[in-house]
Amino acid sequence: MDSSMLMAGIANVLSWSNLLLIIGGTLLGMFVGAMPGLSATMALALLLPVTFSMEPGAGLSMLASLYLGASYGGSISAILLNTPGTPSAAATVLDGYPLSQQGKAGKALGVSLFASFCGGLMSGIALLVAAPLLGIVVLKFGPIELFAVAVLGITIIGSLSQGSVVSGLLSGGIGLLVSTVGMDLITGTPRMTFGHMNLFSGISFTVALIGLFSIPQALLLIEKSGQGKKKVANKITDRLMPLWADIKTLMPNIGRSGLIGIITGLIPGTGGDTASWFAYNEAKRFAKDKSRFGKGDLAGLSAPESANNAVVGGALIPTIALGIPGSSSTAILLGALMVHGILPGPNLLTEHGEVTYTLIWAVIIANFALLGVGLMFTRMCVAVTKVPDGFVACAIIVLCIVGSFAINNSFFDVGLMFAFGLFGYWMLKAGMAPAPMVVGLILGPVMETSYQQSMLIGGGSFMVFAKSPIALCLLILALFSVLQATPLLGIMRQRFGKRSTHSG
Amino acid sequence: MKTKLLSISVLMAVTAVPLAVHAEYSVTDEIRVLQGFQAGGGSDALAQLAHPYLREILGVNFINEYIPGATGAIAWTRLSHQSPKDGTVISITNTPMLMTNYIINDSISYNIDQLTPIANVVTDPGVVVVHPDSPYQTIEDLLAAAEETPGRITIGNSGIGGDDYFSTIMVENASGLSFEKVPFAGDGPSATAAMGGQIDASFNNVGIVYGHLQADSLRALAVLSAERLPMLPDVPTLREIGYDVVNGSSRGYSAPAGIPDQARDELIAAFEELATNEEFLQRAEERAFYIDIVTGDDYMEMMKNMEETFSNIWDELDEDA
Amino acid sequence: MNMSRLSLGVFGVGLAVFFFVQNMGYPARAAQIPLMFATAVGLLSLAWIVQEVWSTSKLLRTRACPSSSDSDSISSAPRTYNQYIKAFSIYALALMYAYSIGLVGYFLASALFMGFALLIVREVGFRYALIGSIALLGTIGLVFFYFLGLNMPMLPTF
Repeated sequence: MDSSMLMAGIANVLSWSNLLLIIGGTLLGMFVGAMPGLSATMALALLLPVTFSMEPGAGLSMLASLYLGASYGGSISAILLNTPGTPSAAATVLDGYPLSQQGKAGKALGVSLFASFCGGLMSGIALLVAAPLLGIVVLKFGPIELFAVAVLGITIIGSLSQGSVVSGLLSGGIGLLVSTVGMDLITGTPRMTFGHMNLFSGISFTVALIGLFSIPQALLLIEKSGQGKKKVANKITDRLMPLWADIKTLMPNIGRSGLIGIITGLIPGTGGDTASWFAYNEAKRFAKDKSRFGKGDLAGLSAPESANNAVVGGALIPTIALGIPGSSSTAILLGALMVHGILPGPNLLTEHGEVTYTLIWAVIIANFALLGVGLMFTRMCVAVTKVPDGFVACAIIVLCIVGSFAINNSFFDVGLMFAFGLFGYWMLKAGMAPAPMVVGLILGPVMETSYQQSMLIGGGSFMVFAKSPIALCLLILALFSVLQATPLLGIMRQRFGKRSTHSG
Repeated sequence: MKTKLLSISVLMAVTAVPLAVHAEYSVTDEIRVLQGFQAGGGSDALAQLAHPYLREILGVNFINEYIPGATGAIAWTRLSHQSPKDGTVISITNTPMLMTNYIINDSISYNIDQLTPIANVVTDPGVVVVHPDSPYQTIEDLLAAAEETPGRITIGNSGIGGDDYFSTIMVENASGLSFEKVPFAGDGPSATAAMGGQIDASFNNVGIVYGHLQADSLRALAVLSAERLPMLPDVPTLREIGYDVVNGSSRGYSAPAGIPDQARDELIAAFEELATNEEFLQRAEERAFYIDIVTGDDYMEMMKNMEETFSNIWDELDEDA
Repeated sequence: MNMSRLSLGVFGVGLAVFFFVQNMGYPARAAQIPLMFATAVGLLSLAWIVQEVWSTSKLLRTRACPSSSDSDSISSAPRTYNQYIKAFSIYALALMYAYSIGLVGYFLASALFMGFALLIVREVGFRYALIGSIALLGTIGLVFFYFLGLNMPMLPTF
């Protein structure tokens, strides 16, 4: 770590124009994240061309701030509107919305902001201090290890079900199945596309997420509208900043979730969406009273929020250390570098150190901007709860159309979103949770591609997974997760005379 | 009176000459450029580099429209079937994806006869890279290993239909060896897998891995160009060891078929002028872009050759499968 | 008996069969994992249907208190179908709105949608609806069309 570059980076970032861009980026990110139907990836893809005319350091700072702001912003609509503003906030809905139903919206938002701040700061520091070291870890994750990560992710599906285990697994299974639509990477066969070019690249899970979560919520609001029901969360009567006592109990959880976020961000191919579920699962596993999860447990709220903000720094580590993007959003940041003529690779830290350190410091400072601007912005957002349900519903639909179009500049995606919307409404009525389906959509392609690649590398034998220590550990962890969800473990404990624990 | 007329016409002739050289685009002030890939990708990198210079030469503004999906097929179908043929819309065409899209997939309805090729700009030559501590320190080592254990040497590529995939097949055909081809979702992941030692080698492209080669996180065994590259003087070409395989991925600009001749000529002239612009060439070299400007009919011929080569290879594969 | 649940289960089976049959026509390697997923979905759907049927019959047998334990079941007689008609008509309106963007441009289409939708929903006064819609569309226009350069047709194409 070259201290002169470090200093140059700080100096750069603390210039007025850069600070303004960081604050602006954070604000824009929070706005985009808080709006259901709009996603961070979309905003980044749209903002990127705007940054071409800026200095590379400045443009990157703005993009990174947007990414960070959106990771928090998604929780605002998750808590207030029961629909995640970004894919990485899908887990926040589970405990966030019940909290607002109980009149504790302010507390929920405050905890979410604080957790996001901690997670993001953790990963920013990790990025500053240990980027090259951690970068080496990234190279250990090849197709074989990635397969194990995907399997672990999929086993979490079972524990996420709000409702019967079968419905959760089925939801996940449908997600996995639908994710196979598109051109197969290994043979180039277009599967289930029926000649539609728009399906060749598969179904974008962001489009599916917007459809599955936002549209049913909008329709539900319309159903309830005009009945003069008293809205519970129409005033933030409680304070926004969390109490010290709460913070103390939550810190271990936040720390662990932040670590999970950093590691998941490190692994190329997994991002905020997966990290939040991993963190939620671990928070549940380590919780003393698991039954409170899903009913408004602060731990269940802070875990995914800490993790999804930590992913920002985590995903930037391989990007900066090796030029390998850790997530789809960082791929866009890498694009910003390339367009300015900065080739990705280890020389980012040496030759182009000034730009890189400006970026790293921007990530750290953006967290503080998040804390500051976040408090003000959140208070404004609370005003949304005063808006009548009917109007909110229509606004959500308008935003969903813009959001799903903007991802790929395609009206086909808008139609796809509506199809998922209808299906999501059906699922809502049937009591099937949509969250596992989204996990399935995200991890299905990862699992399939890495499986086929592992088979090619290992010559068709399953032993290839056993030969990799990382993969083996993860697969055993996955098996353990599956067993924990079933009564088997409880029975075994009883057999051996120990007190049976409340399983699942 | 006559001398005045003469001098005026001479004056007009003299001023017309530089005007003809810096021909303002006659069709429009704003050209839409359809890109078949996401913002910030390789096509965008080319666009951001070239457009400022083209803007000066043609006096037009460029508007990028990103229409990703189906490896560019959506954008190119829109170019050939749904775009106005008056010269206001062009697209960045990437080869070999342009052809392999419809060679591999019958449901894709465009083909290169429905395009007016304007100019190729960049050609990224293929390169064979390995992990620096790999047991294969020369290309001959790699090929020898493939001979000993046929079908067990894992070679990464950027996906079915990409240039690396076809390069691997071309090497197989030329040498009679067989590799285990492992497709990845692009050049990036393929290079990463080689860096991590998970695959034996990766057929990649120079521009993508140049940073890694400089930093010694990857080692280049051979390049798939006609001659040694000035940026990699110590790396032999496949031709030198006896295999005539020259392949790479190229990017250029094309318009729909049937645009007015004048528009076509002006665009082609603009690119020919770009080829002589020192500053442009300098900046391209800094980004490891290998400039290979081929215009008009020559570009069409280049495309036709590629189409033929890759169709043949694909048809042969189909027979074997 | 939750009809939505039952029908979704049946749909799951149908989807699984559909994917299965289609994938039989693809080369072995391409079909491997989809077939596996399709089988899993089929089995799980059947399990879900069985679970629903079984739990309903149990309920009927024990003759427990009339309101079923799951709060989201439609089997409790709806007071009125009005709310569902509202929801579906808004959905249909939204589809028409999305389609019309290409014809009349984004802003006109959105304005029309907001107008008609709020009329159907009938929850806010005219002034509120007007100001709210202008604020919403104005923000979208500023942030997306002006600043970020979104590529939707803004004005009518005739």
